[in-house]
Amino acid sequence: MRPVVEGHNLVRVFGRGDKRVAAVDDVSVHVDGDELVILMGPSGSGKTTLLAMLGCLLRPSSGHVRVLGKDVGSLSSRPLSRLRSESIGFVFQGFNLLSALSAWENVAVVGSFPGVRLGPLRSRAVELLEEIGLGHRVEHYPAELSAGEKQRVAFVRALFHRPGILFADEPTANLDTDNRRIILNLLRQAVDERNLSVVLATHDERIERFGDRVLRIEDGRLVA
Amino acid sequence: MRVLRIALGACIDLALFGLVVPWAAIKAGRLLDGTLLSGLRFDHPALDACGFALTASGGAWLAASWFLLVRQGRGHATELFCVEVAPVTEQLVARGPFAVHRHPMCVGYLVLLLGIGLVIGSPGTALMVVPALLLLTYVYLRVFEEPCLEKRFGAAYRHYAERVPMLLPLRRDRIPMARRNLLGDPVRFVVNIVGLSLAVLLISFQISIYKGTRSQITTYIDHTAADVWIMQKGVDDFIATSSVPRETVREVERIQGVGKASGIHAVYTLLEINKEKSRVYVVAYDARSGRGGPWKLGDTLPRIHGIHDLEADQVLLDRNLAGRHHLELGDRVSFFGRSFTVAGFTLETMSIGSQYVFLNREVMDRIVPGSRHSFTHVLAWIEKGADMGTVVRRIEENRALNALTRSEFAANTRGFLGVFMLPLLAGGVIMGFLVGSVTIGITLYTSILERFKEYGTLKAMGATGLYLYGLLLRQSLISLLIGAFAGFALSLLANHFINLRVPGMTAELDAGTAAQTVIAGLAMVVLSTGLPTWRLIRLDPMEAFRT
Ligand SMILES: Nc1ncnc2c1ncn2[C@@H]1O[C@H](COP(=O)(O)OP(=O)(O)O)[C@@H](O)[C@H]1O
Ligand SMILES: [Mg+2]
Repeated sequence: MRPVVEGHNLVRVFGRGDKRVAAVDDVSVHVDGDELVILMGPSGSGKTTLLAMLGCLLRPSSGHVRVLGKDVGSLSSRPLSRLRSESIGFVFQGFNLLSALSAWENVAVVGSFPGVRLGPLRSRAVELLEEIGLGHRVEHYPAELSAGEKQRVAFVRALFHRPGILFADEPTANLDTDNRRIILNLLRQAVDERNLSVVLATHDERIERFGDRVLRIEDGRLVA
Repeated sequence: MRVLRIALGACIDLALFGLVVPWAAIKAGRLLDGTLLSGLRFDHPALDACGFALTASGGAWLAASWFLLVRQGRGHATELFCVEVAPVTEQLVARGPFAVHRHPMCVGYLVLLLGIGLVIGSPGTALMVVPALLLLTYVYLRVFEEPCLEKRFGAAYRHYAERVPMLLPLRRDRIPMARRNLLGDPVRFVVNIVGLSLAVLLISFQISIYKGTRSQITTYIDHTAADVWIMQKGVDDFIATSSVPRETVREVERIQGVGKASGIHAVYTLLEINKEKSRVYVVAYDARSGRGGPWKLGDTLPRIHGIHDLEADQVLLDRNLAGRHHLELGDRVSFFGRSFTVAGFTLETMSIGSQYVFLNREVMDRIVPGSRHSFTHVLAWIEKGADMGTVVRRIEENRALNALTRSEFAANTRGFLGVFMLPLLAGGVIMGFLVGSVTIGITLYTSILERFKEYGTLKAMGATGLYLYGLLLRQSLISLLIGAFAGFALSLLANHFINLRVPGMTAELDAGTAAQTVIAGLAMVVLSTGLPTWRLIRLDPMEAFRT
């Protein structure tokens, strides 16, 4: 099976001179279809930087990224944006919901980008929210939702445009035990049922068992 | 029975919506025009064209939806306050206009009325009565009609209402992000609207004053309505002094195409009133024919019935001038070393910095020796059907004369105004422009600073710079729309005050001014949205990962 996303010899350097940090240092990874990869590493080990490069948000200092077999290094920012709005989803540690929009509007917001055609927005957003047990929160605003509810809304938002891959950066770090389990189960279920791959970055060892594969990163390098 | 009910329904519809409502709307509109909106001029040809287009399209929309209701719904629309006069529809209609919004007949009808308001040039009807009717309609539909329909069609109607918007033809399935951003930040929203309404006020008020003054300076030229003005060679506005020989009048009258001609003396001088001096423009006109004399009289002495009755020592003068110096009818004023009795007051005879005083020409001939053989200007009225250009050319065959059409002469006279009015105008407009731009710029910019993470998230999700520019632009445009309404309302009030209370000043807001202000507003929005957008384009989507 062809990998959904591959990174080859990825390096990302921040700062110069004494402050020079290689946040990611010569990392090669691949993510296949329908697998949940856990990127495990302590804080500051380079997880976010690696995720951002694989998610086409950050250009590597050297090395290259392929998404669905295509090298994205040569793409300018417009086609990169397009690629993200069509094929890539993100879930963040801080939920990152848009405070002015209701739950369903947050979920469907990608459908309001020009050039993105996703059919009827509201009914699909409501359907997705109902599937994760938030049918009663459709019109609520982020400020009216609990942390767990927010992350569930953020999760279906990341799925709304049917991406091939979803990057989740510490998605459970701000959640209690119950909500952590709910989100992890949702991610696991999505991989099993939706033709989706997930890369989940975390420092939390308890999460290991939810993954199909675990990659360990320390000081910007993968370790065995 | 059925036929009878349909006929009755049709009669009620026709009487109510064909006669009573339009009549009352126009009546109320006219009332507002005469009072609250008296400073507003609404007679631009573009407005007429708009009005016709709206009337036609509103009527067509109304007719099309009515037709569909009868054909597909197999019923009639006369169901007032839930009383079924004519047989009501048996089937829910959700096609055609009914797929765009739920009450196309109401909307079509209101658009039709709006169009009529524009065509008849009644701002009161178009801007105040129709919006008030819209509000009434909304309440009526919410309270009576929709509950009735829901009772009749049940879940089918509820489903329809969920899918199709009520009045505004907005897509239901849209995320109104711009509106949400504005409403989610009420303080900034209010600041924005206050700033923009102030900008609109400053700009439109300044242009209103400019235009009011501009029409003041040519009031004599406009109202005496002579077709051609004849001066000495080299003079081409009403500011410079001129002198033409007396014979010119007969000479001009002999020219083919000229109907009548009459000479005037028009000179600036100082008028003495109770030892106070005031700058005036004295016009000596031919009292026998009345040509070149005042056109609108206020109060006069009992013996003065019109502009022909002026006796040797009498003058007519501007009412505002009299008011300022507490002059009563019969009081004495002096100029040219002579004393005169105030015999009456004239209206619309105020120019900037000076007012008009009218005098019998024969008196002038006697008291100012030099004036006996000349006039300052000769006014000519041409015959119906005569060609203006030909007449002017024939008059100018006399090499010592300069002949100008009324509009040329007025334009030249106004040109003089530009010298000192334009800097003022430009100052006001620039000020308004700055207030508006800075308000939008700062409120947008600070709101972005507060939401870096949200905008970063949008960018991570694939939002492009163009999309973000569109988003900010929509936000600013909504604010502008509301701000413009408030600003124009304030501007009308200011004009009203100026016209009533401030002597020597006129302000008029016409469609052209409104259009110019709106264009300035749009330019303001497009420009000041640039800087915040630039910040967003530079924003690193990695902001989304910050915790
Ligand atoms: N924009 C940046 N500028 C400078 N240093 C950075 C930047 N982003 C990350 N780093 C550094 O790179 C290293 C890896 O950071 P990060 O990828 O955020 O790790 P993790 O997500 O595993 O906590 C850290 O030492 C961090 O300080
Ligand atoms: Mg991190």
